[in-house]
Amino acid sequence: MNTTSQIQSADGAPKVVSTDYVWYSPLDWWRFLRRWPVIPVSILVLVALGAIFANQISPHEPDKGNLRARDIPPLWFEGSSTEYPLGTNNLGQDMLVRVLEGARVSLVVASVAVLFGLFVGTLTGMLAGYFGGLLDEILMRLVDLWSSLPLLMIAIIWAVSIQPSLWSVTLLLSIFSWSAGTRNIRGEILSLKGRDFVIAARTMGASDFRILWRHLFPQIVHIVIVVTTLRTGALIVAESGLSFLGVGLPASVPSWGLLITQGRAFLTTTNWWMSIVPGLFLFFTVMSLNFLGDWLRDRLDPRLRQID
Amino acid sequence: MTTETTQNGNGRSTLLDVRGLVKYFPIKRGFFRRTVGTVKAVDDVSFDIQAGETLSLVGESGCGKSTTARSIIRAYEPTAGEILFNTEEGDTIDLAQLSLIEMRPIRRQMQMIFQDPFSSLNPRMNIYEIISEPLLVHGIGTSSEREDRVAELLRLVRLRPEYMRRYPHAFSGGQRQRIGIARALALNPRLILADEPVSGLDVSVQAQVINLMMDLQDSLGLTYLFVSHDLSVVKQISNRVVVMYVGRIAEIGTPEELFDSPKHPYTAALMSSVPKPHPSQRTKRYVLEGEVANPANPPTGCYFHPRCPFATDQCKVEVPPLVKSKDGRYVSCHRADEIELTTE
Repeated sequence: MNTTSQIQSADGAPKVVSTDYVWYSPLDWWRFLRRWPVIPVSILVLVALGAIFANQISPHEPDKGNLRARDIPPLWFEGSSTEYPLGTNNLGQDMLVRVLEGARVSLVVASVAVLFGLFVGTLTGMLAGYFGGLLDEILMRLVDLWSSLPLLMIAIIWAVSIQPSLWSVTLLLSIFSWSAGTRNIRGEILSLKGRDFVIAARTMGASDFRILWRHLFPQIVHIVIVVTTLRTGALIVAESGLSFLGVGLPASVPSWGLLITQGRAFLTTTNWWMSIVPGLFLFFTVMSLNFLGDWLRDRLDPRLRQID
Repeated sequence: MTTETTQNGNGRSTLLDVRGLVKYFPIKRGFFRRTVGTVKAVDDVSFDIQAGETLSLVGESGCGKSTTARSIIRAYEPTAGEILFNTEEGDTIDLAQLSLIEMRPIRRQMQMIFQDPFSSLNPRMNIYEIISEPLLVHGIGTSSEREDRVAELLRLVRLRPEYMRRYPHAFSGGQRQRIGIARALALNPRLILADEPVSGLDVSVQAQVINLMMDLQDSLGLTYLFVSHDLSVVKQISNRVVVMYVGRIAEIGTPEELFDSPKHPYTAALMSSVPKPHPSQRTKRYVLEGEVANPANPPTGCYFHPRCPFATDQCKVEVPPLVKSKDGRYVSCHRADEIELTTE
């Protein structure tokens, strides 16, 4: 595009100013990166794709070790091998395929738990805030009770009483993830339901369902989305924490937390990458989710939407 | 339900007759949310609105003006009293007795305009969605018919129909208020409850919105219940004015009567507080002592007696009834006929 515009310069003569870009300056790239969550989304997409195509990316099996290829460090370190770009562990298992397999586990557990928790939390929060009264009282006391339950202790009892599996851990985290959402959303609904547009909807004869769905839910959807992204990060960390302590996933399921645990013994001696590699994956994924959540919050607010 | 329509002297028929309306808000405290008291926001209020007139409710902040309006449209549940509404079909219905479901068809004839043009429009709905919502809720028209109706309404409030897909944040306060008016008109109501519709606007924009409302009244035959504390606006637009003090009616009369020859001492004080533009028009000021009574703990007798310069012992014990005086005005003051009040 070749746009030119005439601007009257100081001496009165028309001055032709070209407004088409020759090339993006570094500043433009900086602005672009600040405006769009390119880096967090790229990281999340890469991790997700890696999790999906783990078996295609690496020729190795996650739990089959090659004892002749033990303790190989990641690329660019002395003694590294291109066959094992992220190195191998003390049993000669490929770290790349294990970390990607771990991504699959961690992401599935966290997303299922977050979606469940958010669904229940949003629903209970909206109902408690909107209808108030006895329902509010019952739900909020339940939330109080729930938030005072010690996750770790229950997880330990849970782990010794039933055989831990992928789904048992997901269920445990789901059960624990709803109460924070309820409280946030109830508070927001309380402040919104007295606003004039809600009263306007009521005086025009709109049903409670319509008010909740068309008027109140759209006002809190940004909170729901932000909480989702932030909670996903928190739950990935929680699941890893449980697995790290040995009360989470069984050792046969290589989640990030388990991988970090397995490397713990070698952290100060030889195979430091056994913990650091899954640790970095965890860090960048959670960080990206936090950045994305932050960006979404700004983006979903119509008042902020048009601000560059 | 009766099917009588009362006719009064000026040929208008009664649209709404409020009798003994009471709205108490419980004050709840403590762990068990016990009711420890009540705020008597509206306490035995009676007035009527004639079809086609503008009736204003005036008074200080917290005197129950808005609560009265909101109780009439059942945004609040009235504690007691009758709200007799004459429907289009000619029936007289007591709105206070209706369930919220029975109330729905009545809402088509009665709509509300709000004070704050920023909080009365859902920020996440565009103008088309906002104005067409009453139509949608009442299942009126197909979506293209609704779109035509919204365009018509926007032209009616002097906004361009092309703005239909924009969101409220793109409009100024005055424009937003006109969007609120368009929404209120969508169902072709007969009665509009305007809850301080111009208080949130700049003075220049106020005039614009007031003029629009008056033009709409002429062209659509609307009846307004206009809640305001801006007496100069009230004087300009109303046919009759209801003066309220701490949830009760002090006086009802035409604006001329109330401004020129008030009968209630509170009306006199209120009217004399309106700033006069020219020094030669400046008149006697009735300055009230003390504070407005607390509606949670009102004084005995006449609520106004602690601040009234004319109060007697009778005023301290006896609640003055709202009586019709010889010249057809309503005043609630024991001494209305004895005291001489003038704003000249």
